[in-house]
Amino acid sequence: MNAVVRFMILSDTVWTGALGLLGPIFSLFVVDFIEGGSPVVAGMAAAVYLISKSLFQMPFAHLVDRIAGERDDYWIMLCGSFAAALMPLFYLAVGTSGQLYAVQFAYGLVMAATFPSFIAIYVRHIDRDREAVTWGVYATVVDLSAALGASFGGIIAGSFGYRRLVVLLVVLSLAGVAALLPVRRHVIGRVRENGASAAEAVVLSPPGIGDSRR
Amino acid sequence: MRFSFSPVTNPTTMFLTLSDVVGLGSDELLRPVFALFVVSRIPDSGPAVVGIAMASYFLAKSVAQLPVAHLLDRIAGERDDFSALFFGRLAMAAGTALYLLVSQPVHLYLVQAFLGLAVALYLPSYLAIFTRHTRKAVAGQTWGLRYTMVDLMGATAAVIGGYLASSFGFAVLIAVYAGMQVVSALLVLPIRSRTRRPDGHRRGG
Repeated sequence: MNAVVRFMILSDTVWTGALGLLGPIFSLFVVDFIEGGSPVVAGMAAAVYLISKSLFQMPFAHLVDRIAGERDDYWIMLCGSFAAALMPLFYLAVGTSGQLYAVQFAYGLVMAATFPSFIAIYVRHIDRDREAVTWGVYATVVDLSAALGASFGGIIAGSFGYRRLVVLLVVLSLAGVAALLPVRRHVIGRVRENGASAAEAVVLSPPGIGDSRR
Repeated sequence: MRFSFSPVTNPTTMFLTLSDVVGLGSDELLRPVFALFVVSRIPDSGPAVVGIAMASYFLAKSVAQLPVAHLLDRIAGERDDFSALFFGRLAMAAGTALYLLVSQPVHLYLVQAFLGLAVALYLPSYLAIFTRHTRKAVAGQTWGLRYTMVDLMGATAAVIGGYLASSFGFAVLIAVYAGMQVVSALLVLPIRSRTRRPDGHRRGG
């Protein structure tokens, strides 16, 4: 596997592990820390995120495609990832369900920007004839990382509380974003005519890939 | 890419899409409130039990999915992929129903590992059949239709799941969820005759 693919897998592995710290126990957090928190609020929070992300994903993909070259993809991916890594900090400040939904909406919006650009660069740089193996490696290491994150997240929340868990999540996410920095040297100014467009990459990437950004 | 009705009129990808809309969409019934279910169902459990439960799911899935994919590629024809798809989906329904019997952390970890194996059986075969039966020219629209429908169903299911859990309890929520998984398994049955036999013959497109 080439450097771009390796660093991008590394980035998503670290980030997925970080998100896995909080994801599985998010509803407990909602019930404990949100005024009037209940299963209904947890379900609504998930729905708001899904709707905002699916609403904005394709417009962002078309925007990335319209700007020629790969540099814009890279910068949208990097800035979006940086913003997304910081988003969980807002969880420390929310107190009402309305505020939680607003954070979820913004979170979905940021993820909608990073996913198409990430997956477009990733798909363009996969070595030809090594596609299946590359997807397989990605799915396996990312799942293992999610397993690791989930087991530690529950223990950390139980022993040290949610505040420290969220801070750890943000620090780890930023480390994951830092793994994208070396990719910059490899982005190409002009994309080949037959290169994958971001819009196509979004819809053509199999489920399970880039789930941390989906 | 021109607009085309082909993604809707291709019966194979359409039934696979519907199956995932019902199956993956209804995952959102339980996923957002899963931790609350665990804490309410298992006495003295907390975030740690939820975390380990998720870990055992991901561990089982990640260990099993590559060997399954490799095996499916090696066996000729598409009938083995179809069987893995159908029985994987049924196993997911059975595993979901098993949540109703959980009362100890160990039960939960075993059910989670079982669900991980079921997904590992279903996912590679789903992707293989879907990819093979998608016309290249309309691939973007075919997958795009699938993602949009699954996401919309997921958002709806997340709201309904929270409501069901609050108003009727988790047992009702899980019964509905398992029922949806069965429907999802049944929705792939019509494509059986469209999958290739090992000798390469098949009917329809």
